[in-house]
Amino acid sequence: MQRASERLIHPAHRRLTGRPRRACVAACALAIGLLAAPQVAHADAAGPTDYRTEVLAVTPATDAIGVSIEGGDAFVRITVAAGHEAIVLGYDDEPYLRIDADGAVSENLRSLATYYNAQRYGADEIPDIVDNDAPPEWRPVGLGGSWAWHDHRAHWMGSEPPIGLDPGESLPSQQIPLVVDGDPVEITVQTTLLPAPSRWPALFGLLIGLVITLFGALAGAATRTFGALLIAAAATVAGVAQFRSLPSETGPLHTWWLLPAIALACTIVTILTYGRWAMLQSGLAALAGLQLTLWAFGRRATMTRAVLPTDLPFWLDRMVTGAALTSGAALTVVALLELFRPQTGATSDS
Amino acid sequence: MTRRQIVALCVLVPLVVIGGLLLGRTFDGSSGGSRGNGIQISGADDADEFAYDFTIPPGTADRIADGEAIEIVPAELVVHVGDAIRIVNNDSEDHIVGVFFVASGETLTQRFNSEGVLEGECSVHPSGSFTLRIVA
Repeated sequence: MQRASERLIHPAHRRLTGRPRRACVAACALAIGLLAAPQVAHADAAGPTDYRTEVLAVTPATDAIGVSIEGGDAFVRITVAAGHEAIVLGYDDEPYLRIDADGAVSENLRSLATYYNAQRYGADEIPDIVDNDAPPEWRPVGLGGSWAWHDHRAHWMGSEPPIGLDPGESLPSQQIPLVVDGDPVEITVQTTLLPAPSRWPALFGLLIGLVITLFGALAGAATRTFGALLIAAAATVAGVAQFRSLPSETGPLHTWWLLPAIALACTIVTILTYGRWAMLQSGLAALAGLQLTLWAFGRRATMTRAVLPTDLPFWLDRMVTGAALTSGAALTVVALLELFRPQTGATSDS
Repeated sequence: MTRRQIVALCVLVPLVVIGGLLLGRTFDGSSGGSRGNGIQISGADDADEFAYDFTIPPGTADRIADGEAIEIVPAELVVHVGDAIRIVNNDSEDHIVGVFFVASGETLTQRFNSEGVLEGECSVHPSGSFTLRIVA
């Protein structure tokens, strides 16, 4: 009987050396580093939500400021015309945020809102320096005359809808006070609970992922890789669209597009090296599948929430997420089993 | 791996994923009579006896807008498991009382079936917040 260590190793399964080995190690290190690195961001980035907040009025009407809501209900964004100054007041009517006539943006270090607004559901850690009655201490945070922040008057603060509020109903309107060029101005906002979206785009996406994966399994490794490439490309587009749809001060995360971009790169390298270094190809396929799975699982709420922080049509985003989830998971499992299973001959599906 | 094994995996893994999503709450959308923090709640009949009965009178929103401090509910309320409360909104505006939304002209009744704390903003208390403690 032949011992496992003496089995004939097919040329395609030789140990990697030189450039392929370095490329494989670098790709794995990059992927692991991305997963391990803490997310550094200015703010708690907008996520999928079941609410939409609208600006009902700016009173008195003024051309000095423009107001919008970003991420469904996550951020209030103000843009101040050049030559005008606006100060947003905090929850105790203290000066919280200032946009100068030259576009410089500053936060008041003594305001509670500066720290409380750092998180979508309100930050817990408030430093001792906070004193809403103290004279403001301004810290520059940006330029360009506009800024977005988590104003908790503009969204529901609970993780679940209030009891008694049905989809389609709105919460009582809220006012955000400002001082524009020395005069008081009030922004009136209202948050509405939206009906749950159709589940069909997400289910269709999950099935597309299943079909592409199954078709790839039946047709062979090359088709499987091409299917993964298509889904990784679609996921990258969805991630880039999400990243670009939000202002930089809202803290959009690079992982939104980087994870599928790594998967895309892995599938491209796999295609370019097709027929050589089967272990490298299995490793890259596993890496691509893992990136897609993590990306899709991390954003699975997009499949069920009413409002998504993206410029893409919501149905398309949901479909891509579903497809990436099923195909990524299947690709990961198959590729890992191929990678770690002892091989005795040529692959059966290539 | 044989092609048959690969095909089986390519069907099985996505089905497990889809099944997991269907069985989990991703596709559920509701959690029955339980809040996310595990507190069991249910509606109550108008004929029931209420441990606390609050009425928001007409003109409340106008009085708040005029700067008057309105205190229709306490900042913190303690009820027992099994108790029910009723909030009647006779005002022309909708109101928020902690985790409860009471539309204009409507009545909200709620019975609490397990211990816990429900807290949130409040439009009818000067502090702007309302905490409900449910104790045994």
